[in-house]
Amino acid sequence: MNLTLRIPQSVLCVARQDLARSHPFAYERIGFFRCRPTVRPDLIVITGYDAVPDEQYIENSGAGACIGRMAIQTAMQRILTHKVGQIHVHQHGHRGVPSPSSTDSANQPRLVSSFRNLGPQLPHGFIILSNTHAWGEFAVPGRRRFEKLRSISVVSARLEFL
Amino acid sequence: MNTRYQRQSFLGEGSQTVIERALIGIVGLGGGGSHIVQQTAHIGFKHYAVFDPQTAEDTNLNRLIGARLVDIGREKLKIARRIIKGLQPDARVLCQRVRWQAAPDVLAACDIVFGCVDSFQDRDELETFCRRHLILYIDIGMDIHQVDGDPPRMAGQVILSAPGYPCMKCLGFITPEKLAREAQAYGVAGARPQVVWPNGVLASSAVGLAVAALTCWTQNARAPVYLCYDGNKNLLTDHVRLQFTPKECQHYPLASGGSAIVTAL
Repeated sequence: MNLTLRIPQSVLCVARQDLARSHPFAYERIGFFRCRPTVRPDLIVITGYDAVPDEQYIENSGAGACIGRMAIQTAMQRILTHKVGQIHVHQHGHRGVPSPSSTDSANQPRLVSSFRNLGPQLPHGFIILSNTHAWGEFAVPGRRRFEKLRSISVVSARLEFL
Repeated sequence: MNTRYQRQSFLGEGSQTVIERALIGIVGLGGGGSHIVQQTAHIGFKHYAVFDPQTAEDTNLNRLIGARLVDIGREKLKIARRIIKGLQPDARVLCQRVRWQAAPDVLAACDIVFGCVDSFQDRDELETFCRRHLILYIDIGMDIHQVDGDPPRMAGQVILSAPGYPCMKCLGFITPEKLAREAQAYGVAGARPQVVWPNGVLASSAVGLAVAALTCWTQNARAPVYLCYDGNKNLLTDHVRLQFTPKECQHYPLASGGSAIVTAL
């Protein structure tokens, strides 16, 4: 499956600005995109972004950032209340294709599986943004295995492909 | 860069790659759509989804670009495909001999959709679909009105509708009154006057907007675009309604994107 994500540029800008902010103790920031499925299983649209408040991070020297129970519960509640998928996102401040750390690879699939259990009719995933590219994996309704993200289209008055 | 596109290298480094990568949808392959097919094939687009259930008739030959006398009775899709393949042999052309509503998954894959349809209802449905799927929608259309004693008035529009920006309803182009009037007149409208040259002006402008959106060569991509065509004066100008349009769309909030989720009670 060639999975494509479409995101309004305004939403991406809000996310990038939030994720670039410094945190009192975490090395990086985490956020969640809201997303919805479409008439195509290989196309997901992003409909919004939710930041994680400072106090919902927990100290963990083994990771760049670690969010606590409240942040995850809040994301799960959005699935139930707003019927939106949740995409865990963080940002690496470099050019080129980002790649997940061993901590990302170990923990994020479990988080996304929890999202899928709660909202199986919705897509959920995790992505890492760099300044120029993105990397991601998604749980797509009707598919058991995680699907790799092929491209992101950034939509505004112009159209860009990440 | 391929020397074939040397003369359009001002579009910027990498522009041809972006153009070749984009999937464009063209809904309606009549007077307007056939111009768009031809121009995009010249520019170097290689991925198409084209929709039209009709065959060419002799009354189409005054404006259907690429059509020949022998094409009467031939599917408009095949004429479009012939034009594209003649310029881009390796192009991928998804031909849909149906109304787009019968193949929504094909349309959803498009990055940019050109709407070359006749009715406000069709335009409204196309824009709604494009908004839900975060697709740039470019609408073109023309009409000729005649009031007793006055010369015919030729008018048209080119509208770029981008997700998050004011839509055709915000612009006052689609209104409940127009939709209602059209619904009341359904089946009695008869053949509308159509000629080749205004379609060419409108389609060229639409293609220009698409190329600017993809390459940003103007460094000034803007939305919405609402160009108003006066065919009697040969003028294409910004529509006055742009001055009074709200900054954000009142009808299609970004949060309403994607398919509706239905849950059993």
